Amino acid sequence: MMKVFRPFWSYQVTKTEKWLSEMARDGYHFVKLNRSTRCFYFQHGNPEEVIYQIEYNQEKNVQLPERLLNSGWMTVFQTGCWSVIKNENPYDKIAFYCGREGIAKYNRKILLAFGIMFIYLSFVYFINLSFLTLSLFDSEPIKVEESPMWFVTYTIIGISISLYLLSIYSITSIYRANKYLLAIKDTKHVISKENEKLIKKAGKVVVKRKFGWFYEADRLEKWLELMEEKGFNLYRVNRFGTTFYFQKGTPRKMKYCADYQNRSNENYFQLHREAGWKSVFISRTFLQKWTIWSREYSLSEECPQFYSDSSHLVKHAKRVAITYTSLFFPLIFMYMWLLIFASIPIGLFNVLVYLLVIIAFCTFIIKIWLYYFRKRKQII
Amino acid sequence: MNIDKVKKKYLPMTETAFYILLSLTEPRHGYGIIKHVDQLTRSRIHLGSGTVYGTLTKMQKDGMIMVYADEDRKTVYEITDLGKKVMISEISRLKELHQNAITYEGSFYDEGI
Repeated sequence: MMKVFRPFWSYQVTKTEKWLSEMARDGYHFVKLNRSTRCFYFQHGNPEEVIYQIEYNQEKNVQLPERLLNSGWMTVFQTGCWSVIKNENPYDKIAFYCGREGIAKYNRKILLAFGIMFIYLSFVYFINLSFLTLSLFDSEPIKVEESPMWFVTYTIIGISISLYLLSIYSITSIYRANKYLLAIKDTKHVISKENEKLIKKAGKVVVKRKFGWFYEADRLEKWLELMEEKGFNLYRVNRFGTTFYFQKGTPRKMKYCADYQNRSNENYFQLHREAGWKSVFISRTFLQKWTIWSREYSLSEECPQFYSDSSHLVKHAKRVAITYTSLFFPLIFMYMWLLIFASIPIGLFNVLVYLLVIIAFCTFIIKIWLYYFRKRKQII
Repeated sequence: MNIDKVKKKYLPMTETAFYILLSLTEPRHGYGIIKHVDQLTRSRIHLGSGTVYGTLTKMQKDGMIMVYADEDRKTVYEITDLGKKVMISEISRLKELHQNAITYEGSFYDEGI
């Protein structure tokens, strides 16, 4: 039995899978994995071509779907929610593979944990370093107290710095892996850059700006549909989702749907595209996962519905409202706290800025709940 | 999730949920489900893809269905044993409904029609 230490095997699972296949090619067959010591165990045997996949399921001891079993997959090892499956058929004979969403979801959780740690440690370092720099300019020289307890401080500093480096490594590594696992593709532009220049020269482009439509998505949809009816065809949205480019053309019947998902994956885009929807805008920020979908229909056709079940429409609006409220509420609270309890006098200018910020955030929250109530009224 | 909890959450089923599960007599793609339900109901129900995606995601989380990928990396959905059990309970409920509907149907017709 051979033991190999691989501490970050779960970050880039596809690399680990390839490595397992390479080991099998050299005659080392994977037997088990110890998750706490991060060690892989191998049995020596004949060199073989084996394809491995690592799976993560939220529930323990999940059996493989029938189709995967029929494709030649079998479970080699299970530990907790993880399982390693293998297939001895050649690549072109395997019709089905296990999905990647479980792992992507798990990775996202780890990413969040490291993200919080990274922000916290950055904050602590920033405070400490600024104090240190300030004291350098002090007239009094720094006096270091002799104490046997200093080694504790040094060890803590050492641990925190290694944690900091670990979090940076984890964040970049997982971020890259997830992008690959979920294969999220961007929208293709309907009009190429060269053509766009030509249309612009002909004076056929109308540019409109919309800020903060995230808080009233239904109004944005209506506005876009109206523009299309007037013959302004939307062909591009800038990357922040604030500038809309229309081409003067023919009036069309278009259905628009601005959809918010807490997380989106390949599945999401695949299904909607196959069902005939086109994505005109996909937001790329970490928190705001908006997609604007569009679909043309003729007068004789029924208007296509993104959500055919109206309760889902309300649920969607509720999700948006709750997400944004939980985002803005702590900020409002923080600024309020700064205004009322700040021990240092902050000056009139800052007071005004804080007040403005608080008012802005409050309007966002009010707008978003109004949007929710409009949606709810629609179905009753 | 255990079966009682899932039953409590899903029964009685919405028409959407019922037809989505009913179309999983064989593993299908997401869009395959939409087309199949269209056929089954003779175009009475056009499932919106947003609704289908939301329902499938929820069902997967609750262990009613499982997902894997085919050679083009397209997602395939298959019903689990738990999903089958829930479907059987729902179908027996619908049978009772149907039976009673037929038994008492007559008294709702006006005389002479």
